[in-house]
Amino acid sequence: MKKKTGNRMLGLAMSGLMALGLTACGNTGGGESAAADQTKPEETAQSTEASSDEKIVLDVINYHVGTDYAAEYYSYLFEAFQQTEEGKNVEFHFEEIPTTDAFNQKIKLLISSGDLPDIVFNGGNNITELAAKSGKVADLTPYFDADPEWEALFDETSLEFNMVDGKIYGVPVSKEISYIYYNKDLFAQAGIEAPEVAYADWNAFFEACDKLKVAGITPVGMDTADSGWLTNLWMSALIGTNGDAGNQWMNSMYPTDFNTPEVVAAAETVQKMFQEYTTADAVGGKYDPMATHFFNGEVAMFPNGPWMIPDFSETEKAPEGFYDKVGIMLMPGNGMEMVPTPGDMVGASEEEKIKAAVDFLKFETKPENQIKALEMTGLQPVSNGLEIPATLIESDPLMAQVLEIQDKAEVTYGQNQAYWYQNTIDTFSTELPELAYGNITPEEFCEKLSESAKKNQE
Amino acid sequence: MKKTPQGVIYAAKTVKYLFLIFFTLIAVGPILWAGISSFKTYAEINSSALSWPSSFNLDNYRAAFQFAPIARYFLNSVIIVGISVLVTVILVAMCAYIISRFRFKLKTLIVLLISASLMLPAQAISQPLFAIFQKLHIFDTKAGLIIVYSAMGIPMSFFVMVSYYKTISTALEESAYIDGASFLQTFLCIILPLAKPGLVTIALLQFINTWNEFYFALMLTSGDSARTVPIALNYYMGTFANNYSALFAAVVMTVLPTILLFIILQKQVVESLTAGAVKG
Amino acid sequence: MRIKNKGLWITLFTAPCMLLFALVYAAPIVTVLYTSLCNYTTFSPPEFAGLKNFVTIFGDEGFRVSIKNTLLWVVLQSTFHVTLGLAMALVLRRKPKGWKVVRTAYMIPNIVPTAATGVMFTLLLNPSFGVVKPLWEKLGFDMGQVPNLFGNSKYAFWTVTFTWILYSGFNTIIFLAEMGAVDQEIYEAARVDGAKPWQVDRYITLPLMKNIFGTCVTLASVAMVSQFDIIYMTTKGGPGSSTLNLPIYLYKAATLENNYGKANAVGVVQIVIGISLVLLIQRLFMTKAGEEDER
Repeated sequence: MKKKTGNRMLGLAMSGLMALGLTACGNTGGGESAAADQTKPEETAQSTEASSDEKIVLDVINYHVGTDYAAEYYSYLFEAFQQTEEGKNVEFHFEEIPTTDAFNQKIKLLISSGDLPDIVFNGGNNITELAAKSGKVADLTPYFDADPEWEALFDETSLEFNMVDGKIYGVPVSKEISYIYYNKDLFAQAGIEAPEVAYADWNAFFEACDKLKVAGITPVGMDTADSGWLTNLWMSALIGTNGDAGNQWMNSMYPTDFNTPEVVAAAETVQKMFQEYTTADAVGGKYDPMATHFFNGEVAMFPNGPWMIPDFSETEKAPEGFYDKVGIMLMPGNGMEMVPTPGDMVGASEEEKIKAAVDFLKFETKPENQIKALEMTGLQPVSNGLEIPATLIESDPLMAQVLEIQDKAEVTYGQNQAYWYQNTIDTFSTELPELAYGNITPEEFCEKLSESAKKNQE
Repeated sequence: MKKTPQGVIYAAKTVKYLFLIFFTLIAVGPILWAGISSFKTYAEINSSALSWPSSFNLDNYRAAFQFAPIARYFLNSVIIVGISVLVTVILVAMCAYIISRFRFKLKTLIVLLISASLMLPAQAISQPLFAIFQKLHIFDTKAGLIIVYSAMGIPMSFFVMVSYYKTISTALEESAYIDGASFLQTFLCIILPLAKPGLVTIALLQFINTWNEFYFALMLTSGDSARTVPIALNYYMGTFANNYSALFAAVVMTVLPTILLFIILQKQVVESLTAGAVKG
Repeated sequence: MRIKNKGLWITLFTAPCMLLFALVYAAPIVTVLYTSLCNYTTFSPPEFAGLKNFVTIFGDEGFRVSIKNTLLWVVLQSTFHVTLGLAMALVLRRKPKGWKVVRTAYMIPNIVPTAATGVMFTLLLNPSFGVVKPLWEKLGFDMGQVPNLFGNSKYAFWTVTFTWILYSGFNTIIFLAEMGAVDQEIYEAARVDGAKPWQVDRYITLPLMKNIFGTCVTLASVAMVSQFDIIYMTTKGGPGSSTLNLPIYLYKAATLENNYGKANAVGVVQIVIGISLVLLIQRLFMTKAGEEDER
């Protein structure tokens, strides 16, 4: 069965390549591809006919909906694409699945026994590999080869991250970084000064926590529900900044051995943080109420990425003027979480749909849209060296600071949503409360994670 | 005969009423609390759980409608539940009639199969159903849920109907046949009108069970096109996680229809549920 | 009865029902039984592997915990929960003041979507804005120690149990219906003989409730073997595995581990437990199986 789909995919990729080869040579600004199609009627008659007479309908499952941080950006993106030459004949058929968790679940189910949508957004959880191995997503390597200008937008790590067996399946649209936000007022209240870039080490960090506590301020925000995002960021930092061994571990995909000294030590620290430095509802709590604690000035430090910045000035979430109270620092020891994002994929199987989907992904990764995404959502551009408009520095100094502080990171590492097996992330989330309440030891906690990860290899 | 002392009687009475009051409060307390909270602002919810809202306005309800297509979920539920009730009632009315009136080769097998499925835990068959539905391309469609719900309703409704038909005397049918009526005429014009109360019973039973169904809706839907009201709650938990006031409003809107239906049709609902339990 | 084309009508009237039944019940059950013996994941088709999946699950601590929790819930529900329903029916039977209101109110939690009940309790018992905090404060306990009822495995099992065990309104109406069917003359005779109310209940009503009690216990047990909604909405089986039961374990095996063979092996165990419980309960309560007369 595998062979058969493989052959089919190969055939599709070949025909896709041919179609692209024809259009790409005339494709300079992106506006001429349709025109190029028409100048070569004999080869592409079929696709032209279809695209000029009727619309190409692309199925999309979108999880950037409702109150999602990028909902507005994506609705802009879809509309703007339809204004372009490549997109004017494209119609989107949307299905909305809020929350990344539910979305991942759905995509996985579709990988197993259904048809993937034509454009497959990537919510992480090793979906790229699963999708590629199922043969239900298109190999995009030929499209990259045919458009060097596009390929040049991505650095090697980002593309490698989206390769399976040497072929590119995902188009990375951003990169993910995270660090610590702190509340300047609360620091002042406790009479301490935040470091310029980061605390030199975790001891210094916890000393500051103790001082905050003495002043009656809860030092850090943590959670356990869903995937335990915040706790995951703390724990990744604790592991990733713990020497070469720890850093290497935190940069490896699908770890199955959690009983290493660095992971156990991190679990021990996380246990202490739950017991001494965070809010009462952290255990069993979800991300959003914890974020609300930070907005309301109830916790001093909160780990997260740049996509949180727009929330600071949104009055429905944070009190007025909150934006100005927020400072940024890296994790102790100049650490920063950074993962190339798992890229969006193409699940279409008809040639013209693949082409339309790739056109959309090209549009999505256009430098101006990367900047737009940065401005609207805080998503970090995947391309390096894009010119950040001066207006951004003016209008969003925090975001500008993020761009600046990134370069000062001395160690970078991944985090569990990008690197761990999905059931292990679930185990992490259900066992964290046990760890927090001291019902299990850090060693036992790590043992449970190992056990759960190994289930994937049975 | 010894007389019970007055004190003991009073004590017993007090205990009895405390018992009643306690369980009434426990039963409606959480719903009332959610109802009251659904009018509070976010700040009010956070500051005290046991206070009254400063004003009874519908802002939170408006917000709930704004964030999620609640109206659409209601419509989905109405369509899916409505059709599945109809399908179950029609199929069961026919099948149960045959079982209650005739002897034939496969009868025992049919009864055995249906009664075995009464005790089948639904989750056990969910993965194959999922796979089958994918193959038939009815995964995440209203049709898919309608099929599952209609089938799910069969076992209980079947036994309720069989025992109901048995209460109808065969004399009428026999004289109809003597008068030369066909089988179909007899069934449609004589039996069905007589069986109406039974049919209403299984319709209500089926309505309540499917309106509240969660597991299959979770497994077999994934998007807005077929998502029903209970499953929408799962969605709200994700989308309203930082807007508890709207979440409260969404919860209230979810529970209200069944509560209203129950209060209006109380007698029939109680009868249906009892029949389902006892005969099913 | 002599009917033209009897066989045809029988087929026409039973076939649609049985076809639907076969699609939704029979085909999946056969699949479950077979694939429980297979290596079968989201990404690979079923391939026979013998009892491997069963060896795997019985070797897994999480699975043993889910069996234990499932059975514990069955026991709690079929004893305390059903008895509570009976007690309420005994009180309401005498129609004390306001009995109709109580009957209606007590029934409400049983007819609202269970998923909604789950959300409601999550909110109600939330340690930061639920009712636990103010009550804790009024009782004068340490404010730093507000119990996190769903979040701490010390309380989670009982908190989850609490969300359903007290709500026995469904059993109450069943018992009330059965009590209503008791011949009133028996009660009249007892009254004339000077029996006290508790004696009437003890010696007349209760013995007559035996069969229906069995029915209620059966229903309660089957419901507990497939209890999913509330757990999913509140704890998802956690913290640790404190509220893990068979349906949740199965759901996770299918959706998080992508291991369909394993999930279906759990399904087989679930079916076996369900059917054994029903047979056991019928042994205990149904002294004589009501043979239906056939014509």
